[in-house]
Amino acid sequence: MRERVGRVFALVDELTEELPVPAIHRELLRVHLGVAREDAETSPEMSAVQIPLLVHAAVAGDEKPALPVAAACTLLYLGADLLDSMLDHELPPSWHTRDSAEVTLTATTLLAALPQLSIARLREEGTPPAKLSALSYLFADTVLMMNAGQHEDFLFPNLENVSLEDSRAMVERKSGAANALFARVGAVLATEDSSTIEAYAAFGSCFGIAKQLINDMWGIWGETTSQDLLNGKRTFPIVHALSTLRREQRERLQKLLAVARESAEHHDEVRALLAAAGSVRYTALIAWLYQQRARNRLSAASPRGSAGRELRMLLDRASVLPHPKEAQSSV
Amino acid sequence: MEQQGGRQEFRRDKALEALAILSIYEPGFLGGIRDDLEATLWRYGFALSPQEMWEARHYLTQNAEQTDEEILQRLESLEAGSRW
Repeated sequence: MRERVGRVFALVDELTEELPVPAIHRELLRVHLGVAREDAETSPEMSAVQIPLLVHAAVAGDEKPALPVAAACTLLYLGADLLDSMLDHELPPSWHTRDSAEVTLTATTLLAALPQLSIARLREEGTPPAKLSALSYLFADTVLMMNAGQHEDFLFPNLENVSLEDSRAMVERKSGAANALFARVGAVLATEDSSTIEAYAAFGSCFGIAKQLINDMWGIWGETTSQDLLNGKRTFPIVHALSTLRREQRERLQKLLAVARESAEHHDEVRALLAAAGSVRYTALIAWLYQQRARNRLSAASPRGSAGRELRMLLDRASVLPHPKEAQSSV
Repeated sequence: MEQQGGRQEFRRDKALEALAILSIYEPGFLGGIRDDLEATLWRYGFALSPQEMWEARHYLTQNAEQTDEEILQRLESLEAGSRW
Protein backbone atom coordinates (compact mmCIF):
# COMPACT_ATOMS: atom_id res chain seq x y z
CA MET A 1 0.00 0.00 0.00
CA ARG A 2 2.82 2.39 0.88
CA GLU A 3 4.40 1.89 -2.54
CA ARG A 4 1.18 3.09 -4.19
CA VAL A 5 1.30 6.23 -2.06
CA GLY A 6 4.83 6.88 -3.37
CA ARG A 7 3.84 6.43 -7.02
CA VAL A 8 0.68 8.53 -6.81
CA PHE A 9 2.36 11.40 -4.95
CA ALA A 10 5.29 11.34 -7.42
CA LEU A 11 2.83 12.05 -10.24
CA VAL A 12 1.03 14.66 -8.13
CA ASP A 13 4.37 16.44 -7.55
CA GLU A 14 5.20 16.27 -11.26
CA LEU A 15 1.87 17.87 -12.19
CA THR A 16 2.31 20.57 -9.56
CA GLU A 17 5.79 21.49 -10.78
CA GLU A 18 4.46 21.96 -14.35
CA LEU A 19 1.74 24.45 -13.34
CA PRO A 20 2.04 27.95 -14.80
CA VAL A 21 1.35 29.67 -11.47
CA PRO A 22 3.22 32.24 -9.31
CA ALA A 23 5.98 30.82 -7.11
CA ILE A 24 4.06 31.54 -3.88
CA HIS A 25 1.05 29.54 -5.12
CA ARG A 26 3.28 26.59 -6.06
CA GLU A 27 4.97 26.82 -2.66
CA LEU A 28 1.61 26.59 -0.86
CA LEU A 29 0.72 23.55 -2.94
CA ARG A 30 4.11 21.95 -2.21
CA VAL A 31 3.79 22.46 1.53
CA HIS A 32 0.24 21.10 1.64
CA LEU A 33 1.06 18.10 -0.56
CA GLY A 34 4.20 17.42 1.50
CA VAL A 35 2.20 17.22 4.72
CA ALA A 36 -0.47 15.05 3.04
CA ARG A 37 2.20 12.72 1.69
CA GLU A 38 3.77 12.27 5.12
CA ASP A 39 0.35 11.45 6.58
CA ALA A 40 -0.39 9.02 3.75
CA GLU A 41 2.97 7.29 4.17
CA THR A 42 2.19 6.80 7.87
CA SER A 43 -1.37 5.62 7.15
CA PRO A 44 -1.35 4.38 3.55
CA GLU A 45 -5.01 3.25 3.50
CA MET A 46 -6.05 6.58 1.94
CA SER A 47 -9.02 5.64 -0.27
CA ALA A 48 -8.29 8.18 -2.99
CA VAL A 49 -4.89 6.56 -3.58
CA GLN A 50 -5.78 2.90 -3.09
CA ILE A 51 -9.27 2.40 -4.48
CA PRO A 52 -8.84 3.56 -8.12
CA LEU A 53 -5.68 1.45 -8.48
CA LEU A 54 -7.10 -1.62 -6.74
CA VAL A 55 -10.40 -1.50 -8.65
CA HIS A 56 -8.56 -1.24 -11.97
CA ALA A 57 -6.40 -4.22 -11.00
CA ALA A 58 -9.43 -6.13 -9.74
CA VAL A 59 -11.11 -5.73 -13.14
CA ALA A 60 -8.21 -5.76 -15.61
CA GLY A 61 -5.42 -7.45 -13.63
CA ASP A 62 -3.07 -4.43 -13.77
CA GLU A 63 -3.10 -1.22 -11.75
CA LYS A 64 -0.47 0.81 -13.64
CA PRO A 65 -2.81 2.37 -16.27
CA ALA A 66 -4.95 3.85 -13.47
CA LEU A 67 -2.12 5.95 -11.98
CA PRO A 68 -3.37 9.27 -13.51
CA VAL A 69 -6.92 8.71 -12.23
CA ALA A 70 -5.61 7.79 -8.78
CA ALA A 71 -3.58 11.04 -8.78
CA ALA A 72 -6.69 12.96 -9.90
CA CYS A 73 -8.75 11.39 -7.09
CA THR A 74 -6.04 12.18 -4.53
CA LEU A 75 -5.89 15.82 -5.66
CA LEU A 76 -9.66 16.17 -5.52
CA TYR A 77 -9.76 14.61 -2.07
CA LEU A 78 -6.97 16.86 -0.75
CA GLY A 79 -8.68 19.97 -2.12
CA ALA A 80 -12.02 19.04 -0.55
CA ASP A 81 -10.29 18.11 2.71
CA LEU A 82 -8.49 21.47 2.81
CA LEU A 83 -11.78 23.37 2.42
CA ASP A 84 -13.45 21.14 4.99
CA SER A 85 -10.61 21.75 7.45
CA MET A 86 -10.92 25.50 6.94
CA LEU A 87 -14.68 25.44 7.58
CA ASP A 88 -14.20 23.27 10.68
CA HIS A 89 -11.28 25.34 12.05
CA GLU A 90 -9.05 22.28 11.85
CA LEU A 91 -6.34 23.46 9.46
CA PRO A 92 -2.94 21.81 9.98
CA PRO A 93 -0.20 24.00 11.56
CA SER A 94 1.38 24.73 8.16
CA TRP A 95 -1.68 26.92 7.38
CA HIS A 96 -1.97 28.77 10.67
CA THR A 97 -0.12 31.88 9.50
CA ARG A 98 -1.92 31.99 6.14
CA ASP A 99 -4.87 34.05 5.05
CA SER A 100 -8.13 32.19 4.34
CA ALA A 101 -8.01 33.53 0.74
CA GLU A 102 -4.76 31.61 0.22
CA VAL A 103 -6.35 28.45 1.58
CA THR A 104 -9.31 28.87 -0.78
CA LEU A 105 -7.10 29.52 -3.82
CA THR A 106 -4.95 26.47 -3.07
CA ALA A 107 -8.01 24.28 -2.54
CA THR A 108 -9.50 25.50 -5.83
CA THR A 109 -6.36 24.53 -7.75
CA LEU A 110 -6.42 21.10 -6.08
CA LEU A 111 -10.12 20.52 -6.65
CA ALA A 112 -10.75 22.03 -10.04
CA ALA A 113 -7.55 22.30 -12.10
CA LEU A 114 -5.09 19.58 -11.15
CA PRO A 115 -7.45 16.57 -11.42
CA GLN A 116 -8.30 17.55 -15.01
CA LEU A 117 -4.61 17.92 -15.88
CA SER A 118 -3.96 14.48 -14.44
CA ILE A 119 -6.77 12.93 -16.50
CA ALA A 120 -5.32 14.59 -19.61
CA ARG A 121 -2.20 12.45 -19.04
CA LEU A 122 -4.27 9.45 -20.10
CA ARG A 123 -4.29 10.79 -23.67
CA GLU A 124 -0.58 9.93 -23.87
CA GLU A 125 -1.48 6.33 -22.93
CA GLY A 126 -3.91 6.13 -25.87
CA THR A 127 -7.18 6.49 -23.93
CA PRO A 128 -9.95 7.37 -26.45
CA PRO A 129 -11.32 10.98 -26.34
CA ALA A 130 -14.84 9.75 -25.45
CA LYS A 131 -13.50 8.04 -22.31
CA LEU A 132 -11.43 11.09 -21.35
CA SER A 133 -14.51 13.23 -21.68
CA ALA A 134 -16.57 10.78 -19.59
CA LEU A 135 -13.92 10.83 -16.85
CA SER A 136 -13.80 14.65 -16.83
CA TYR A 137 -17.57 14.76 -16.52
CA LEU A 138 -17.50 12.30 -13.59
CA PHE A 139 -15.07 14.51 -11.68
CA ALA A 140 -17.16 17.66 -12.31
CA ASP A 141 -20.36 15.85 -11.30
CA THR A 142 -18.76 14.55 -8.09
CA VAL A 143 -17.43 17.98 -7.08
CA LEU A 144 -20.99 19.32 -7.44
CA MET A 145 -22.39 16.51 -5.32
CA MET A 146 -19.71 16.90 -2.64
CA ASN A 147 -20.26 20.66 -2.53
CA ALA A 148 -23.99 20.12 -2.08
CA GLY A 149 -23.29 17.78 0.85
CA GLN A 150 -20.72 20.14 2.31
CA HIS A 151 -23.15 23.04 2.08
CA GLU A 152 -25.85 21.04 3.88
CA ASP A 153 -23.34 20.05 6.56
CA PHE A 154 -22.57 23.75 7.00
CA LEU A 155 -26.27 24.71 7.22
CA PHE A 156 -27.52 21.94 9.52
CA PRO A 157 -26.51 23.62 12.83
CA ASN A 158 -28.78 26.56 11.97
CA LEU A 159 -31.83 24.45 11.07
CA GLU A 160 -34.54 23.68 13.60
CA ASN A 161 -35.34 20.12 12.56
CA VAL A 162 -32.85 17.90 10.79
CA SER A 163 -34.12 14.35 10.33
CA LEU A 164 -32.04 11.18 10.29
CA GLU A 165 -32.91 10.81 6.61
CA ASP A 166 -31.61 14.37 5.95
CA SER A 167 -28.43 13.49 7.80
CA ARG A 168 -27.96 10.24 5.94
CA ALA A 169 -28.59 11.93 2.57
CA MET A 170 -25.99 14.58 3.44
CA VAL A 171 -23.41 11.89 4.29
CA GLU A 172 -24.22 10.11 1.02
CA ARG A 173 -23.51 13.29 -0.93
CA LYS A 174 -20.52 14.50 1.07
CA SER A 175 -18.60 11.25 1.53
CA GLY A 176 -20.42 8.59 -0.49
CA ALA A 177 -20.03 10.54 -3.73
CA ALA A 178 -16.25 10.93 -3.39
CA ASN A 179 -15.62 7.25 -2.69
CA ALA A 180 -18.07 6.22 -5.43
CA LEU A 181 -15.95 8.29 -7.81
CA PHE A 182 -12.69 6.67 -6.63
CA ALA A 183 -14.07 3.22 -7.42
CA ARG A 184 -16.01 4.19 -10.53
CA VAL A 185 -13.09 5.82 -12.38
CA GLY A 186 -10.88 2.78 -11.77
CA ALA A 187 -13.61 0.60 -13.27
CA VAL A 188 -14.45 2.95 -16.17
CA LEU A 189 -10.83 2.87 -17.27
CA ALA A 190 -10.71 -0.93 -17.08
CA THR A 191 -13.99 -2.02 -18.68
CA GLU A 192 -16.99 -1.03 -20.79
CA ASP A 193 -19.29 -3.31 -18.79
CA SER A 194 -21.82 -1.02 -17.12
CA SER A 195 -22.97 -3.55 -14.49
CA THR A 196 -19.37 -3.99 -13.28
CA ILE A 197 -18.85 -0.21 -13.22
CA GLU A 198 -22.08 0.33 -11.26
CA ALA A 199 -21.25 -2.45 -8.78
CA TYR A 200 -17.88 -0.86 -8.00
CA ALA A 201 -19.41 2.63 -7.75
CA ALA A 202 -22.03 1.32 -5.29
CA PHE A 203 -19.28 -0.43 -3.32
CA GLY A 204 -17.35 2.86 -3.12
CA SER A 205 -20.39 4.85 -2.06
CA CYS A 206 -21.34 2.46 0.77
CA PHE A 207 -17.72 2.19 1.90
CA GLY A 208 -17.44 6.00 2.03
CA ILE A 209 -20.66 6.35 4.02
CA ALA A 210 -19.58 3.68 6.54
CA LYS A 211 -16.25 5.47 7.03
CA GLN A 212 -17.92 8.86 7.43
CA LEU A 213 -20.24 7.52 10.14
CA ILE A 214 -17.20 6.17 11.98
CA ASN A 215 -15.53 9.58 11.53
CA ASP A 216 -18.65 11.15 13.03
CA MET A 217 -18.24 8.88 16.07
CA TRP A 218 -14.55 9.71 16.28
CA GLY A 219 -15.44 13.43 16.09
CA ILE A 220 -17.36 13.10 19.37
CA TRP A 221 -15.73 10.24 21.30
CA GLY A 222 -12.24 10.13 19.76
CA GLU A 223 -10.69 12.95 21.74
CA THR A 224 -11.36 14.57 25.13
CA THR A 225 -12.10 17.90 23.48
CA SER A 226 -14.44 17.29 20.57
CA GLN A 227 -13.78 19.64 17.65
CA ASP A 228 -17.17 18.70 16.17
CA LEU A 229 -18.92 19.84 19.37
CA LEU A 230 -16.87 23.05 19.46
CA ASN A 231 -17.89 23.64 15.82
CA GLY A 232 -21.56 23.02 16.61
CA LYS A 233 -21.71 20.29 13.95
CA ARG A 234 -24.92 18.27 13.58
CA THR A 235 -23.28 14.94 12.79
CA PHE A 236 -25.21 11.68 12.54
CA PRO A 237 -25.02 10.63 16.25
CA ILE A 238 -26.23 14.07 17.34
CA VAL A 239 -29.09 14.12 14.84
CA HIS A 240 -30.02 10.63 16.05
CA ALA A 241 -30.10 11.73 19.69
CA LEU A 242 -32.12 14.88 18.90
CA SER A 243 -34.62 12.74 16.95
CA THR A 244 -34.90 10.08 19.66
CA LEU A 245 -34.82 11.79 23.05
CA ARG A 246 -38.08 12.82 24.67
CA ARG A 247 -38.97 16.46 25.13
CA GLU A 248 -37.16 17.41 28.35
CA GLN A 249 -34.00 15.46 27.55
CA ARG A 250 -34.04 16.80 24.01
CA GLU A 251 -34.25 20.37 25.30
CA ARG A 252 -31.43 19.64 27.71
CA LEU A 253 -29.29 18.27 24.87
CA GLN A 254 -30.00 21.36 22.77
CA LYS A 255 -28.87 23.62 25.63
CA LEU A 256 -25.77 21.51 26.22
CA LEU A 257 -24.89 21.57 22.51
CA ALA A 258 -25.06 25.37 22.61
CA VAL A 259 -22.68 25.64 25.60
CA ALA A 260 -20.44 22.87 24.20
CA ARG A 261 -19.51 25.31 21.42
CA GLU A 262 -17.91 27.62 23.96
CA SER A 263 -15.71 25.17 25.87
CA ALA A 264 -15.01 21.47 26.38
CA GLU A 265 -16.36 21.62 29.92
CA HIS A 266 -19.73 20.14 28.97
CA HIS A 267 -18.58 17.69 26.30
CA ASP A 268 -18.84 14.69 28.63
CA GLU A 269 -22.42 15.63 29.50
CA VAL A 270 -23.28 15.72 25.79
CA ARG A 271 -21.65 12.29 25.38
CA ALA A 272 -23.66 10.91 28.29
CA LEU A 273 -26.94 12.09 26.75
CA LEU A 274 -25.99 10.66 23.36
CA ALA A 275 -25.24 7.34 25.04
CA ALA A 276 -28.59 7.46 26.85
CA ALA A 277 -30.28 8.00 23.48
CA GLY A 278 -28.61 4.84 22.10
CA SER A 279 -26.71 6.93 19.55
CA VAL A 280 -23.40 5.06 19.97
CA ARG A 281 -24.91 1.69 19.09
CA TYR A 282 -27.27 3.08 16.47
CA THR A 283 -24.49 4.87 14.56
CA ALA A 284 -22.23 1.81 14.81
CA LEU A 285 -25.01 -0.44 13.52
CA ILE A 286 -25.87 1.83 10.58
CA ALA A 287 -22.16 2.02 9.67
CA TRP A 288 -22.08 -1.78 9.85
CA LEU A 289 -25.11 -1.99 7.52
CA TYR A 290 -23.34 0.15 4.93
CA GLN A 291 -20.23 -1.97 5.32
CA GLN A 292 -22.31 -5.09 4.64
CA ARG A 293 -23.90 -3.45 1.62
CA ALA A 294 -20.43 -2.52 0.32
CA ARG A 295 -19.35 -6.13 0.84
CA ASN A 296 -22.32 -7.40 -1.19
CA ARG A 297 -21.63 -4.94 -4.00
CA LEU A 298 -17.99 -5.93 -4.08
CA SER A 299 -18.95 -9.61 -4.28
CA ALA A 300 -21.31 -8.81 -7.15
CA ALA A 301 -18.39 -7.21 -9.02
CA SER A 302 -16.29 -10.42 -8.66
CA PRO A 303 -12.92 -8.72 -8.09
CA ARG A 304 -9.83 -10.61 -9.27
CA GLY A 305 -6.86 -11.88 -7.27
CA SER A 306 -4.88 -9.96 -4.70
CA ALA A 307 -6.55 -6.64 -5.58
CA GLY A 308 -9.89 -8.13 -4.53
CA ARG A 309 -8.37 -9.31 -1.27
CA GLU A 310 -6.92 -5.86 -0.59
CA LEU A 311 -10.27 -4.19 -1.28
CA ARG A 312 -11.94 -6.57 1.21
CA MET A 313 -9.20 -5.80 3.73
CA LEU A 314 -9.81 -2.06 3.41
CA LEU A 315 -13.51 -2.70 3.86
CA ASP A 316 -12.93 -4.80 7.01
CA ARG A 317 -11.66 -1.65 8.72
CA ALA A 318 -14.85 0.32 8.04
CA SER A 319 -16.66 -0.89 11.14
CA VAL A 320 -16.50 -0.55 14.90
CA LEU A 321 -18.40 -3.80 15.40
CA PRO A 322 -16.62 -7.16 15.56
CA HIS A 323 -15.53 -8.95 12.41
CA PRO A 324 -17.49 -12.16 11.78
CA LYS A 325 -14.52 -14.33 12.88
CA GLU A 326 -14.25 -12.53 16.24
CA ALA A 327 -18.00 -12.77 16.74
CA GLN A 328 -18.05 -16.51 15.98
CA SER A 329 -15.24 -17.18 18.41
CA SER A 330 -17.01 -15.24 21.16
CA VAL A 331 -20.40 -16.98 20.74
CA MET B 1 -32.45 -10.34 2.57
CA GLU B 2 -30.87 -11.53 -0.64
CA GLN B 3 -27.69 -10.15 -2.06
CA GLN B 4 -29.15 -8.72 -5.26
CA GLY B 5 -29.76 -4.98 -5.51
CA GLY B 6 -33.04 -3.10 -5.78
CA ARG B 7 -36.13 -3.92 -3.75
CA GLN B 8 -34.70 -7.06 -2.12
CA GLU B 9 -31.73 -5.14 -0.76
CA PHE B 10 -33.97 -2.31 0.43
CA ARG B 11 -36.17 -4.85 2.25
CA ARG B 12 -33.12 -6.55 3.80
CA ASP B 13 -31.67 -3.25 5.00
CA LYS B 14 -34.98 -2.06 6.43
CA ALA B 15 -35.42 -5.37 8.26
CA LEU B 16 -31.90 -5.21 9.72
CA GLU B 17 -32.42 -1.58 10.70
CA ALA B 18 -35.65 -2.52 12.45
CA LEU B 19 -33.77 -5.26 14.33
CA ALA B 20 -31.11 -2.70 15.28
CA ILE B 21 -33.72 -0.33 16.68
CA LEU B 22 -35.49 -3.08 18.62
CA SER B 23 -32.21 -4.39 20.03
CA ILE B 24 -31.36 -0.90 21.33
CA TYR B 25 -34.71 0.28 22.65
CA GLU B 26 -36.83 -2.75 23.47
CA PRO B 27 -35.54 -4.36 26.71
CA GLY B 28 -37.51 -7.59 26.23
CA PHE B 29 -36.31 -8.12 22.70
CA LEU B 30 -32.73 -9.19 23.39
CA GLY B 31 -33.82 -11.56 26.16
CA GLY B 32 -36.44 -13.02 23.83
CA ILE B 33 -34.04 -13.69 20.98
CA ARG B 34 -31.61 -15.36 23.38
CA ASP B 35 -34.38 -17.74 24.47
CA ASP B 36 -36.07 -18.37 21.11
CA LEU B 37 -35.02 -16.31 18.12
CA GLU B 38 -37.67 -17.48 15.67
CA ALA B 39 -40.59 -17.14 18.07
CA THR B 40 -39.42 -13.69 19.21
CA LEU B 41 -39.01 -12.39 15.66
CA TRP B 42 -42.45 -13.76 14.79
CA ARG B 43 -43.95 -12.08 17.88
CA TYR B 44 -42.46 -8.74 16.78
CA GLY B 45 -43.98 -9.11 13.32
CA PHE B 46 -41.04 -10.43 11.30
CA ALA B 47 -42.10 -13.08 8.78
CA LEU B 48 -38.72 -14.24 7.49
CA SER B 49 -37.62 -16.86 4.98
CA PRO B 50 -34.96 -19.41 6.11
CA GLN B 51 -32.24 -17.33 4.41
CA GLU B 52 -33.50 -14.15 6.08
CA MET B 53 -33.68 -15.95 9.43
CA TRP B 54 -30.04 -17.00 8.98
CA GLU B 55 -29.03 -13.39 8.28
CA ALA B 56 -31.03 -12.11 11.25
CA ARG B 57 -29.38 -14.69 13.54
CA HIS B 58 -25.94 -13.81 12.17
CA TYR B 59 -26.63 -10.11 12.60
CA LEU B 60 -28.01 -10.36 16.12
CA THR B 61 -25.34 -12.71 17.50
CA GLN B 62 -22.60 -10.61 15.92
CA ASN B 63 -23.72 -7.12 16.82
CA ALA B 64 -26.78 -6.54 18.90
CA GLU B 65 -25.29 -7.25 22.32
CA GLN B 66 -22.25 -5.04 21.90
CA THR B 67 -22.09 -2.46 24.68
CA ASP B 68 -21.21 1.20 24.14
CA GLU B 69 -17.92 0.61 25.95
CA GLU B 70 -16.97 -2.25 23.60
CA ILE B 71 -17.86 -0.15 20.55
CA LEU B 72 -15.90 2.87 21.78
CA GLN B 73 -12.88 0.68 22.62
CA ARG B 74 -12.94 -0.54 19.02
CA LEU B 75 -13.21 3.04 17.80
CA GLU B 76 -10.13 4.00 19.82
CA SER B 77 -8.16 1.08 18.46
CA LEU B 78 -8.79 2.04 14.82
CA GLU B 79 -5.67 3.26 13.15
CA ALA B 80 -5.68 6.82 11.89
CA GLY B 81 -5.62 5.46 8.34
CA SER B 82 -9.01 3.87 8.78
CA ARG B 83 -10.43 7.35 9.11
CA TRP B 84 -9.09 8.66 5.77
